[in-house]
Amino acid sequence: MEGSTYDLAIIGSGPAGLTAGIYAGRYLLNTLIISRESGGTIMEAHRVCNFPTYNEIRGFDLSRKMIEQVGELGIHIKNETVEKLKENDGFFEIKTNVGTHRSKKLIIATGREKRKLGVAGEKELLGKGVSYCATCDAAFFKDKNVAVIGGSNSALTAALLVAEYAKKVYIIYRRERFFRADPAWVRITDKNEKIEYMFNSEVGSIKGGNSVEKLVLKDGLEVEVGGVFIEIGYEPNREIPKQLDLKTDKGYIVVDNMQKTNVGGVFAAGDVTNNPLKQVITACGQGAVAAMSAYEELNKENDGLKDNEKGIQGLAIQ
Amino acid sequence: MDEELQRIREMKMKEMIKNLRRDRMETVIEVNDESFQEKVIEQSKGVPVVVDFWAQWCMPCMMLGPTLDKLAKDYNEKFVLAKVNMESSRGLAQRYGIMSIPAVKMFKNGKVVDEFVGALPEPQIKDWIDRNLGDS
Repeated sequence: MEGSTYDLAIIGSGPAGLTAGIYAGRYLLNTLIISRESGGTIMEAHRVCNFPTYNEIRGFDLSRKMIEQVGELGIHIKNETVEKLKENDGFFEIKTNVGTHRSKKLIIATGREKRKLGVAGEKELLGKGVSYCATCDAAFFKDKNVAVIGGSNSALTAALLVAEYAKKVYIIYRRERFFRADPAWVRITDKNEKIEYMFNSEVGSIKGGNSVEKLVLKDGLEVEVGGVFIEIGYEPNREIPKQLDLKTDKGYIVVDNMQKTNVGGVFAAGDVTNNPLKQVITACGQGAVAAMSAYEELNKENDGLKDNEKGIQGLAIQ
Repeated sequence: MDEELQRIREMKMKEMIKNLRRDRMETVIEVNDESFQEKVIEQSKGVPVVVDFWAQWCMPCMMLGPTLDKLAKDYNEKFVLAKVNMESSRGLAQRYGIMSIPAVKMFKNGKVVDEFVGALPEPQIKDWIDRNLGDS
């Protein structure tokens, strides 16, 4: 056990966690932010064009600005990996790879991660043709045959980007058409001669030695490619809700409009919650509300304490 | 007696050279297709070199960069951090079969001894460095 007990511990440092940190800082709560890495998934966004005051800003820069703001309020972000969360005697114990922290209130803002296919070869060939970032890696597949897995906007935009370099791009999607993508994007991919659609297709495994050589689909069909870009959406961290017995819906933490979870003293904000819109601006809004809720609860508990003390003093005078 | 003196002299000389090198050693350097042989391959025969293959267009690279800088400073000359910009060093991308960035490789004695891809969290990178420095 190290150090003091924090009023508030925030797990995660994306826009939700950082905004909660900013509000908590201004409420003068003794606050700790714990995060595997600073910034969250927004850091990887090439451009953010819908955050008020910016027509366009790199996700990386937006995140940096928030981190700076948190820093100026004197709140520390500890880059540690949370291993175990539990409630103990009215406090929360947060065991990380470095030590154990204690707090009175908890905000979970751990966001989401890119979903993995979960097939043989995916892990083994990561960095050897398997990629989750088309912007990063498209340029390495010049004149190669490449597959993009998925059918959302991000899959289609990835395919368009990869097609600028690759010889041929197969979009492999398990449904029979692009239900979830914007028609405007579909129209553009339709016209791209390098792009070929493979609907009703699911990847069974990724094969290769030193690098990706082919995909084997579940129906047995083989597709020879030198690269695979996996764009099948995101999923939340399921471990933390499980440890705290938080109620979830499809893995996302269920919250009310005060960002309260079903467990007292635990709040959640941002992409990890069952909110309807997973954007920076909504994450920030939820982070702010979560911090206020925590602050209000702490205040009530402190007031209760003071009343008690008053009572005792009153008795003493008598 | 002369032999003894000679040995001491040699030892002192080695120490001086070592110190001189230490003074001059830059812990974070930028390398390209031309300087790679000297700054990475040759240098890794004396001190481990961690090579960060990155590009401006890669956001995870921008996240990882500052973490590696910090670690290079923290480890105080136990390794050299060499940055290779993929935009200007296409030859190296091909030579080392880079297909995904950020890609980080540890060079010792001119050879890659371990590698990882992606912006790993700091604790994991530390483990990776410790594991690989420990073997030397």
